Amino acid sequence: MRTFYLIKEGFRNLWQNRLMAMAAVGVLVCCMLLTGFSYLVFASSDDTIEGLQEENKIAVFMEVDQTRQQVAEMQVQLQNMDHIAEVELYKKDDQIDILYGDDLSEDVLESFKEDNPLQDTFVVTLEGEAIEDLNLYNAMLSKLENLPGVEELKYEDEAAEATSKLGKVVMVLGGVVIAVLLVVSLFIIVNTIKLTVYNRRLEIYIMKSVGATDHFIRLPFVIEGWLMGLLAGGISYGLIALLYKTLWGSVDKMNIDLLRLAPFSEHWVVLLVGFLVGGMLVGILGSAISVHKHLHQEGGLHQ
Amino acid sequence: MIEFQGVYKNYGTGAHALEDVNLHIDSGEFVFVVGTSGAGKSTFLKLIMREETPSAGEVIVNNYRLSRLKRKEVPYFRRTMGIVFQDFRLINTMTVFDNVAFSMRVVGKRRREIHRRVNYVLQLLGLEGKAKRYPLELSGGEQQRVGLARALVNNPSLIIADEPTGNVDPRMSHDIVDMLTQINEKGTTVLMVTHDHDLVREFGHRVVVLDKGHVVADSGRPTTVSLGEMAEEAGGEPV
Repeated sequence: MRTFYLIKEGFRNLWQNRLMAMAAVGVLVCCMLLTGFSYLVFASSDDTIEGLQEENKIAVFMEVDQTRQQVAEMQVQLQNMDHIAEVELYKKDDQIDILYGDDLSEDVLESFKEDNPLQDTFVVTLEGEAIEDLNLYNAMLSKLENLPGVEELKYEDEAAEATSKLGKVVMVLGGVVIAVLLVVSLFIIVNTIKLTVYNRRLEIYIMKSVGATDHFIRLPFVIEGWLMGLLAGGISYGLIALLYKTLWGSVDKMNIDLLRLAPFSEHWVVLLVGFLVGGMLVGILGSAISVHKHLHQEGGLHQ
Repeated sequence: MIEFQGVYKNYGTGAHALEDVNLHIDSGEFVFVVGTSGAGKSTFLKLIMREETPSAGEVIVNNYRLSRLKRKEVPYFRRTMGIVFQDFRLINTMTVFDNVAFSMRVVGKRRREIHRRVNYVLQLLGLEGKAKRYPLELSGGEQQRVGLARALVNNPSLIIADEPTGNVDPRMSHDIVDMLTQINEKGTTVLMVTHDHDLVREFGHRVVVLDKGHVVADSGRPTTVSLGEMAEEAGGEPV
């Protein structure tokens, strides 16, 4: 009966202090929107970097005198190497066809193929890990260069370096920004709830004077904080879904190749769960911290 | 029962708020505590309510040795007493019924029992028609009676009244002390701090006079003598 009463008190308190509660929820929504947008911006950066990485391929040119057998063996060897996602072979005979197929006769093409000056070429796509880690990337280049029959490699080394650095910066920056925003949110919510608790210090003192235990005093405030957090989480999710979808639509219409916005459908679960759980935790923690001070402050019963 | 054994209290400024206070109040007594501002009345009450602990000496209230009381035991100790404040300390967003029922909810009483007991106490104090009203809709005297109802509702063995007549008119003051006297006659110990000499004289209960942190006079029995005479006789300032 007491638990039911205390839960009812939590709801009653929220309604009776609705102005302060609205302020606290408003502050929490702002912080959550900032955190949510930061998360989506970093998720989008990640997608954009992945897009750049997809273009980051290495061309492995074989020596001209390599036999078909040697090239076939080389293909198997490359496919079995670690950190290689994909291997495509551009045979030198096919290259003749591509270059001159439309202009020269079958006989001439065949004679070219017998003494083909072009090179068999593999286009190797590395796995993400090998591109993000510059040391591993360089090790892979050296390994490929030293394979038997390889004449030279061609690759965009600056692009690889830039992508690797950008990836690291985005990861660190994203973590820092989200952590800072979470701490700021907690700080603001604690202070806002402190105001609501301060407004009701008389209630707390009366509770203490009639023999209420700390648990009895704390629970309605914690329930109130939980409700505020839940409300803020729901509102934040609704707003971010609406705003981000609108933004996504606009960017999509612009058709910019390099810019990839993370699709909302891939991140809604993280955002919804994050907002609701984060909101509730911040609300509960904020209330508990705020009321703690008044619980341990004697001298209020008798002034 | 209240007992002070060689109690000292200082707040770190060097001056003693209470100094070597020895006092015994038996169960069922009605005691007025009087004294000028700074006499130590507030500290005296804070020690009894276990808002403060003595710097030296021992305070025993309702068989609780307060200096040995653990923090988590304090609420259970406070349930043995009812407190009436000068400024009423009612929750303005709660009805009269809820303000009084609050004390019972805190100690986990059942709904039916709360309903029965609160209505009984409200009737006892002449507030039966006011149960659904809010404190700010009541007069000062009525608000103090609600405060008294809240203090009484758990049937405590000790009532502490901190200048309960400070914010009400003389006639209501008389009524409030009259109610406290009736409660006392049923066996509840009453300790009332007051400035109102007329009331003290009129009701003739035991009087303890505090001055500069000392008990300078204690009638030790019901009395109607002048407080000024008592204090001056004991070497304190007239109150």
